[in-house]
Amino acid sequence: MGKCALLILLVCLLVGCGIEERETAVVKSYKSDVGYILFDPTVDDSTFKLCDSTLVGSGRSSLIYSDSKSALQEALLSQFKFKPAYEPFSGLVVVRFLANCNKKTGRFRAQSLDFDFSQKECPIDLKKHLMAIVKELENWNHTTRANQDLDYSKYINFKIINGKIERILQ
Amino acid sequence: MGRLSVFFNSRKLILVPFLVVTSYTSIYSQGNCLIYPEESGERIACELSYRAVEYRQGSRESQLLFDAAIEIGPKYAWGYYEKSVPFFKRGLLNEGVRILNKAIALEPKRYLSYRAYWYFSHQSYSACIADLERYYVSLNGPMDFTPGGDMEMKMLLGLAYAQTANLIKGIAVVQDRIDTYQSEAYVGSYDYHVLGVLHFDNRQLEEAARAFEKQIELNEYFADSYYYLGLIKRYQGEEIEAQRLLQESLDRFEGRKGGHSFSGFLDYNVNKDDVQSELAKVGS
Repeated sequence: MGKCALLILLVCLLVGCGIEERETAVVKSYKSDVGYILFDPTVDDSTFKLCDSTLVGSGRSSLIYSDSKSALQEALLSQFKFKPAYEPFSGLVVVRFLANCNKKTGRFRAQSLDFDFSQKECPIDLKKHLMAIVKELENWNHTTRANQDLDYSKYINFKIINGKIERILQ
Repeated sequence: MGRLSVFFNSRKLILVPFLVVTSYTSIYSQGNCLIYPEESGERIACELSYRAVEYRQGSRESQLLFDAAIEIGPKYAWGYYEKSVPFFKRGLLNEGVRILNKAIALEPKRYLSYRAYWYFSHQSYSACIADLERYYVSLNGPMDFTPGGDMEMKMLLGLAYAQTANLIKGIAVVQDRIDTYQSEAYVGSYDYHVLGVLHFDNRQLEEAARAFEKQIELNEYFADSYYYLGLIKRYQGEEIEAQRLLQESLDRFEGRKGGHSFSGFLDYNVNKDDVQSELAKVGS
């Protein structure tokens, strides 16, 4: 976008143009809020539905597995199966997903990173395995501070050392 | 709010929230747009960023405005910083750090510690140490706090050293921080607790006990210190005192006497389950 056109847009925004114009401009740049995961028919379960996709909260402290942080650790560690092929990888694997207001989960995504958060490839089977064990978690609850009617985005960060889970952070 | 009232009710900590708020504000707040020349890129970027924060953090609307601010005022570092925040909070760490790095390139002294905070939060301890050593040594950065103001950054540095097999260095950094405050009124909300857990991890139980006792003297509502002190008493064979302290910790966790825990110490965090488990051992 040229600087001139940008300035016109900015002036419109600053003086308060109509919502319709603003929305048009927004949609050009962003399809969603930060953290929202768009439906991808090639990988996502089509039966997973959000209650209200227009407002998805950040579930960092609004969603909890079972009734404690240790329950999440125990559930994930008990399902993790190490393979020698994972061993070359040390870094972070962040699994993100959405949980709807009925606490059902879907739209899982995984990203592997180095410890400085730069992108780093990891064995594809490791990434798939970590996503699979997160998908199996079914006992999500809203915390007392959560809005019970909202859908939430959530992430779990696996700290991996030599292919094994060192820590699980959420 | 309950936690805040706890601090204000503790007379010896009256100054701490004030110091934290003023420091936090100076480092992370946006500042006055009028310091930039009229019609300059920075001035417009600053004004646009003010518009952006009127929208929900991470919303499409706010992100668009931050992008516009960055486009027109690419030297305005706060726009990058604030745009990065929801990415970190929502697990998009790579995207977040790529944006924040631009703010750091422009004003390292102002934004480096924020990246260190996120490295620490995700247990990237070596990256955290590298940033904080640069901040305090190379850049001679002033006292700085975690977002929210819970801990001075040297507490994170000390904890990060401890987690990378350098407990002695961690203890030294935390002790030095405490020793170099202008007065006790400057001591942070959890400084003595951090000193205590590092001594505890280093099996210096006497030193750890003194630190936890000091922490409790400064803030009697903090559940975690009672837990660690209870463990020390149990190791020292003082079963009845250990039971009393662990029960005190549990009461604070469950809010029976007012109280709170804090989860910013990562591997040194205390959960209610830990307290109940230890309490069962001394009771049996």
